[in-house]
Amino acid sequence: MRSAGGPMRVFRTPWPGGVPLRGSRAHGGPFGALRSGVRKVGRGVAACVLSALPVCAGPAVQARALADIRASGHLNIGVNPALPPLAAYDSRNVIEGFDVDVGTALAARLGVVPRFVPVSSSGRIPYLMAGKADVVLGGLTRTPERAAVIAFSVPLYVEEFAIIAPAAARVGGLDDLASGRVRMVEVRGSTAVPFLREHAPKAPILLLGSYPDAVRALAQGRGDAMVDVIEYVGRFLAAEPQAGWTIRRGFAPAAGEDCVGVARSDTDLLRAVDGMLAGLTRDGTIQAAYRRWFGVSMVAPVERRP
Amino acid sequence: MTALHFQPVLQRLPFLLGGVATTVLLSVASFGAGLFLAGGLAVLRAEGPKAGRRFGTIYSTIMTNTPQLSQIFAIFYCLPLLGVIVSPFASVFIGMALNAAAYLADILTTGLGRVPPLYHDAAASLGLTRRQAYMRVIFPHALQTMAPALANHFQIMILGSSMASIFGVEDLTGRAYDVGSTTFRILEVMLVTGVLYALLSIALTGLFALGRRLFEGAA
Repeated sequence: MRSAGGPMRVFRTPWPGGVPLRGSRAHGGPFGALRSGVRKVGRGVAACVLSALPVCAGPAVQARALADIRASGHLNIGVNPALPPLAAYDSRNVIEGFDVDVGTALAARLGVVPRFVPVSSSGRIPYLMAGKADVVLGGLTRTPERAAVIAFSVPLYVEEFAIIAPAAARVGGLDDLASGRVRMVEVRGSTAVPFLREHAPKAPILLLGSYPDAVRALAQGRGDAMVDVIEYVGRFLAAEPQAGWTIRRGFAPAAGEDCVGVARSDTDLLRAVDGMLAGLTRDGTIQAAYRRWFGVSMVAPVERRP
Repeated sequence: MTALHFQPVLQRLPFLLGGVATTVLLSVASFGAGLFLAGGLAVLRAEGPKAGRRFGTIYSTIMTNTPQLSQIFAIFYCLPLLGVIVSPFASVFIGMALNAAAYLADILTTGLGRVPPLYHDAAASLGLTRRQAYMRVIFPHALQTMAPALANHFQIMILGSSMASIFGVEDLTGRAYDVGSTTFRILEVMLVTGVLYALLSIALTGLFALGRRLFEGAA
């Protein structure tokens, strides 16, 4: 059944196709509007893809060189504000933490103003590569895969994995995780994910966007355990005390080394950062910042080698 | 200088296409469920008792004035407080369907309003029950007016399903972030993902148009 055809009156809308008004229909049958809408969308997509091509074709983005940073008077420092004690917003909405202290000290030694750029775990490397940050922190563990795309400074400090689980889950050691019986909850883009895929490939993993989300999901019983660096996750566990967290550490041999990330092309900046970190270690700035934010002295003395 | 390298991403294309399957399932299922609920809501608004009409209006107001993200968040993280744990996929499916129901009900209400009152009388004079009148006369007719708006909302749902990745669903966006975090070629991954979404959206809206034409032929 169709309405009686009247003179065509189509109301022009911002979306494709328009809306036929009462008692009218578009030319080309009742679905002409829909068909032409689909065609228009197709053309729009083609235009988008074509306009993106010049960006794909050439070298697209460029990190700022050391000279540019000095000339601009500021250093863009990527920190993860969802990862205390490395960085977090305080009660006055000012970002603070270990990474902020280190970043501030680096900028001061360069003679520029620090500008903190909030990044997520998965955003750290893309921000560097897109030139949105000159250096990134945020618990950036040095791995061979990452070293293929960005450059790392000398290590800042050493971190260690722990298995974090609600008491009710009764999770044992790494063997337990490898059995595939334990449902893991992890944060997208964290080093724990490749660690688990290698050491516990059978373990099902639920990937969430942030540490608060992952800890909440664990406490609510969406998973049994999480592997991550306890120094980072510890603060979020306090938000869910009813879970009665059990923490097992010392199962993974090598602790990761967390570094400052720099774009690979920025060799001058990398050398400068390495030099400054060595200086900040000699004068005790980094050790003091670590004690201030982690509440303990550094677990292992860090060898400052490139 | 950072040049773009697509090779590591293209090697993982089968993995990304697995995410496309989840995206298709999620958007088609939630659109279907949303349309079904919306049909009920629209009829309730048009024909129901006063309380029913009021419920329809309140539901629509709440669901169209709060972010879909908050609605799914409530299902995923707040229901467990009441002891109900809904799986990631089901949480997003339910959230998207409930949200779509409100928007689609608005579209259906407008479409039903466009059907001349005479058609209701004509259906009644043929001896059709209210249910038969709606299924055989009113809805098929109203669908003509609504088709562009429905197709439009379907498209929004396909692209909007990308928020499923926030709740641990391994849809196209979730898998894109996974590939990005293992290859670190996030710019390339997102460009490829954008193209996949565009192709998916064009294919599904094309199928939608085809389905409508077949339905039209049958009605």
